[in-house]
Amino acid sequence: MKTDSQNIAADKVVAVRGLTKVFKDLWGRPKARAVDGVDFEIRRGEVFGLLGPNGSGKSTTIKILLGLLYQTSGYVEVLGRSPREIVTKERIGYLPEESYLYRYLTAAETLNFYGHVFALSADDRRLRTEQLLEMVGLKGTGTRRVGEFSKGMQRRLGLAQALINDPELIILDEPTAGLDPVGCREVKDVIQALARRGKTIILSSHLLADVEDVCDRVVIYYGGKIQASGPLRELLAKPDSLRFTTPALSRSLVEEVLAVMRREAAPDSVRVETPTQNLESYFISVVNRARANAQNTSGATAGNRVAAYLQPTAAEPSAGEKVLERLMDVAPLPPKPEAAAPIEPKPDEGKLAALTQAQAPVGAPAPKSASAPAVTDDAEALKQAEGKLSSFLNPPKQ
Amino acid sequence: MKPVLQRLFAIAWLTVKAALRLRVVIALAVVLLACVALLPFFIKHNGTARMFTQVLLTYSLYLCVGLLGLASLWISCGTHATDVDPGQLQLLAVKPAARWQIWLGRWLGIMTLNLALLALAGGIAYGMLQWQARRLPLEQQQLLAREVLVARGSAREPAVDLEADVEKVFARRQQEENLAELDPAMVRREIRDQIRARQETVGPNFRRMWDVDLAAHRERLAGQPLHLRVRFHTASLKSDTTYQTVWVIGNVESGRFARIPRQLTSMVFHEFAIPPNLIGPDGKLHIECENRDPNTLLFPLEDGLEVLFSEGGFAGNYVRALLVVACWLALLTALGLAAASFLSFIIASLLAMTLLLVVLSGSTFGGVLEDGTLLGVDHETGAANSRVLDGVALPLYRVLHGFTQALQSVSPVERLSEGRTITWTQLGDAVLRIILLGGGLTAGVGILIFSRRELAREQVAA
Repeated sequence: MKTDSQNIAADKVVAVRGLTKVFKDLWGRPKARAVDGVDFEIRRGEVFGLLGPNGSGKSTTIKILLGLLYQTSGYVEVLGRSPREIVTKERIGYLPEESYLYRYLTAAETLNFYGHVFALSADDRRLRTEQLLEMVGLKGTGTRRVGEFSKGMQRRLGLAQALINDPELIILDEPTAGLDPVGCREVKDVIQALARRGKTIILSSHLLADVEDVCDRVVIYYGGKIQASGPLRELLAKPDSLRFTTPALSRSLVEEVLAVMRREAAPDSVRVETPTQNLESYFISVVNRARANAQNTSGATAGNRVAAYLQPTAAEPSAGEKVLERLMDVAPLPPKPEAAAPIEPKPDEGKLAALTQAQAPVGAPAPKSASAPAVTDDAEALKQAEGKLSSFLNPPKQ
Repeated sequence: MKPVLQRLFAIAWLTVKAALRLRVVIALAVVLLACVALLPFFIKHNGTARMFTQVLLTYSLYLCVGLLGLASLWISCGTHATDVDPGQLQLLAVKPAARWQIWLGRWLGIMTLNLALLALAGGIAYGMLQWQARRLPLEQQQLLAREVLVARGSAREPAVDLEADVEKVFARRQQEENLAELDPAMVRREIRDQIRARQETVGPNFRRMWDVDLAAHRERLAGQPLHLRVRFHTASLKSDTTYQTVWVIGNVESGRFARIPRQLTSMVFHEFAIPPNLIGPDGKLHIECENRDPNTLLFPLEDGLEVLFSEGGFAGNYVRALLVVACWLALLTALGLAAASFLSFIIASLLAMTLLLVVLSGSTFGGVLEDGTLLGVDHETGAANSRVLDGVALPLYRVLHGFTQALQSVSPVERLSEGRTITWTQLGDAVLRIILLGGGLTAGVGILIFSRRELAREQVAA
């Protein structure tokens, strides 16, 4: 019977202890200390973020994990072995920061070539090439040379090659660099989908929104050292404050709610704001509407669901998996624009009235989804809402 | 297919595809074909079909060797180094392909290209040669078939061991004269030169005799004409002066002999046919040269006289010659890849060219080592002009000479143009020396360096 510590050890995908990398000049003199005594562990199924400004040591750490650079000192273990061993490399997928693809190969040849390197059979290579190209939205471009691709399309193909071997550990260095917002969303969806299928993912980025969207745990680098680390929710949580999101309310009701709240908290600590959706969500809703109107693009298309071979079994996904897929796919193309309209939550006047009477609960952190605003494409409704909120937030002086 | 082979072939395929898609191969093939096809129109020769064919053959093959050799170096340096610098190799190196597999896969890919181009250029050169030959008069065609477009074996007088005679004379002179103040090596060298000169020189109205052992080929050579290939030197350096010689081949006493008078020039090789069936019952061919000229003739021991006889067809010989060329291309490819394993494209190319020059400078190293000094000696004192430089250079030259000597193998172009056989044994020797020894060592060093190399660059904030 396995003990807890054995289970934890078996679950450990990456272990880094006292990792130091010093770059030296031609004469062996230390030139730069890129990574300085770094420690962290990554467990199976985690989406682990390496955050930090450019040149802070993220990429150096990744390249040591991949066996492309050798540590000056410290201990590195990937999937229970040295990162330089071939058996380790068989279980890793890597998307580099820049497109290091061969420009003279076509997209399909690229995937076929890497399939050969992983010693896949001809059937597997053909099947996976088809599925991956479809997954990253490059279906129909398989015979085009990579040199003709836009940066975003090369990025998508880069992601596809990283998954050709159905890796256990996927290392993504700036995966959304060069992608349009739709591509960014798709890549993040793929990352989440892969994580839910038990893949371990290391994500290096200086785009904080990307990391925030997908990572479970992060380390923040600066000057080659880890300055902060931990689960993202813990790092970002503000346990001493609460946020409510409601549909537009009558001004009198808002005043009542505020009055109740101000009895408990200092008046200047209670604020009412008009929530805004983030630009990515808005952009995607616009693009989805355009797609629904059959506007063609010559570039990459929307990625499809995660390639079948990347799922736990090649068999038909379970009902739960199907739901998961549906949830994680980019918003499917609706037959009519109206289908993209969100469900507006209806205010429960009774509950709100009770709230004005009862004491507000404190201490519970706001759920993540609460901060994600709903998307509406109804211009008229938006206009009206904007008017209401504007008058609410800037009441006429009496 | 085994995973290792699958990876090797995939990387080789990638290399071939890169060269094809980047149009390197096409450009190279066009240049090669244009050169080989246009060569006959620019050749200068003495007007004989034999000389024209020899020159055409030599130039065509040297052109192929030169162009393909340089292209091999350039492609191997370029393919490898330009994959490291932009980072493509990073993507490959994180996959389960060992560094040696990447290195060897590239070598296989470039060699595939080399062999294809060599076959193409060699085929065109062969076709041009045959086409030119068929346009000649029948007599000339027969001459070519006998002397150039053929694979001929050769036999010489057994090499004479001079050292025993040198030691005898040296011992005698030590007793007769006071040699204590003289350098023994210099004395031996002078004695050796004197003995050698006695064996090589043929004074006016004197004759020189050779007995060439052909016992092993006697039955096969029955009824076949043979060829004598001779060369001598004289005190005169005029190339157009002719010297009267009479050649007696066979056994005069038995009456089976031929007497062939010839006016020959010095310094160049001359070939002439001798009648068949002159080999003696002991399997030896007796040859005499009577010097009917007032000048002394000197027949070098190494190549003063040689008997040539037909052994096989030209086509097979030509293929073996191309295979020896392929061995050199294999070495050059390994050299380029080894240099690019740790250097950038430009620096790797320069280093590879330098090493190539070193390999080609084998005779220079040999000459310096024979002289025992780099800058010569002071003729008055007999001392070396620069002992310090010699102290540094000579050991290095010794190592380089040893390496180049180890790579010395049959010269395919020279042998082919002389219509000599390149045997399978010689081809095997070339494979052993050039590919396995030279290429193996180069590959070993290249793979070792490449395996230890960090393939990513530093990215650190200033």
